[in-house]
Amino acid sequence: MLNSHNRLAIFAGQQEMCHLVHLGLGEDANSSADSVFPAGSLHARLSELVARCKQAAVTAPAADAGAAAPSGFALSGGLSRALCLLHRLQHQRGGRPRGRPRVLCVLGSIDAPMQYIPVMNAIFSAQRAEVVLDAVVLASEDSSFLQQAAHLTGGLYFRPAGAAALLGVLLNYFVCDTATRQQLDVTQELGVDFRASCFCHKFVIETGYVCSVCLSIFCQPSRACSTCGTAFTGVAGGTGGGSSARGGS
Amino acid sequence: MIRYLLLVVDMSRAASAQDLRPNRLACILGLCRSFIREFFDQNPLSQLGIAIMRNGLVEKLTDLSGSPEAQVAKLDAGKLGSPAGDASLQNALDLSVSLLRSLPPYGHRELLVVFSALATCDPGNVLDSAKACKANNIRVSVVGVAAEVYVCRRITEETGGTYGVALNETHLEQLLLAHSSPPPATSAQAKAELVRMGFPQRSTEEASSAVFVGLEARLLSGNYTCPRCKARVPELPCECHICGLTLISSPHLARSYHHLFPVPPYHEDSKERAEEAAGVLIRQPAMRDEVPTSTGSYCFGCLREVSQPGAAGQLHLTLRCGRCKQVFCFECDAYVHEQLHNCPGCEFGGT
Repeated sequence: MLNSHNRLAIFAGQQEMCHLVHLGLGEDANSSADSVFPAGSLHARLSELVARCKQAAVTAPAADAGAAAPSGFALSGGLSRALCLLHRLQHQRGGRPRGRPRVLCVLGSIDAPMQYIPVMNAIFSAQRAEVVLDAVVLASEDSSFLQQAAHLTGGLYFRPAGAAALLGVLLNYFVCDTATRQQLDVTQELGVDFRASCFCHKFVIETGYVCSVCLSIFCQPSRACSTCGTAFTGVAGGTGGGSSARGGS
Repeated sequence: MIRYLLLVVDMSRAASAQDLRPNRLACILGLCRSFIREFFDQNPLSQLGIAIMRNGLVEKLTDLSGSPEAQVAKLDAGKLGSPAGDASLQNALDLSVSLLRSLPPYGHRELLVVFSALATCDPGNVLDSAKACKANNIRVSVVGVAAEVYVCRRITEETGGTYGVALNETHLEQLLLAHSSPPPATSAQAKAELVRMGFPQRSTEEASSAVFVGLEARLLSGNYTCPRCKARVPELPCECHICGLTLISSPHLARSYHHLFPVPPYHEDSKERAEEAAGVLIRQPAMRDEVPTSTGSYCFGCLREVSQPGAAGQLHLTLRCGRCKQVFCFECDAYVHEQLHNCPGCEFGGT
């Protein structure tokens, strides 16, 4: 838990921005009180960031009137930056903190379907690098992206009942490292939404049509695949039980 | 693409030779285990089965299935017994024809033989079986351990596969893992089709409850529900035992999506590019000056300091993305293009 080898970086942002708010890598020889205990200046920096975002939101509609609709928080961008930073730190020498590196996402927005593929890419490279992705979601509905992220990397996913419960969740589960986590009594729901979104409209679908060449998913059958351009001969699959893939016996 | 691969391991008496440590069979089984994991990693939705050749006969170890753990558990030298007898290539080819013949036409059918012997002992003409494989569009590849055998060369050439003979253990690993990435497809082989598939949800019952799941009606707690007929299946990927719908989870497919939407390459930075980028970045939401640096610029991914383009004595090579115009260092370039497959700058709604 409390360890001089612990390293902390905080990114915060909204919509299409994700600023680095704090970076404590323990590299400075003369580390000021600020870099070791950032709580004091953190509040000031976050308020400044919120004010800057408000100002940008006010001026933006005038600037790009023809731009596409906002796509929600850039979760994939934040995760990508965090993973690049973790990749650099993992290859550095020096004292190692206990447990695996982890990324905690505290989110207030709902999932943006446009980000399905980049978020899945980030989850798979976190799996390979043995990085744990945790999530605390304060939105009105569950985030299926972060549920999958926690499930695939072995992290924790919480949706506390209100903002008041946030501090309790953070102190109970996220202060300790991943090695100590096994000693805690964590209740996790089993339900994870593994449904995919179709490539054409980004709807979440339960059954769909998959191109056998490039594996892209569509909600409606069509003559040709829009991703790889293959023309289809027909639609197959799933009419009778036990047809194709069972071996002869 | 969707591949159906039958892996045949040679357990004839030649496999007990000790030119690979501790003996050929133990070495081959270890490498086959890592091959199976890599195969399922690179080929979501594909299916693999295992068979062994011993005493002139071929025995099927596992059926074609989509989950690696059961297959890997079977490849244990202690459980398989000791190698004996001769290897029979014709029986292996005939088994592959009978197993792979009834598969859907959009899948690529393959046979991979790990061959330690120097001869094949067959009941008939092995080249007729090779013709049958070719007629059924099965691509036969062989990885040899001893020396090049003419009949293997003939069979692989006729069916369009590859044949390699390993010089040492490292080379054997290389040859075997080369088969985990999909082979180039010829137009004669597989017709593209739209396959109907389902994406089940994991059940949300309490941990203490249990349900009858699957064909054998085992009592299990965690399970998935088929979206079409609402039957319960124990694990993914699989086929629903009631309605036959192929059931997969979206992470299985998403593993291969980075091939469809690759990251644009980064170019080495220069003064002109830097000036052009400065003009573009001014208009974007500011994510600049987050880290104090002596040179004034830092890598957008890992926040490492990078030197200005063209400066004398560069600390690290500076690269810039052509699309979002952000600066990256060399290590982040390698990481983004080989593992992450997302450019952090382009994710923020770059131009």
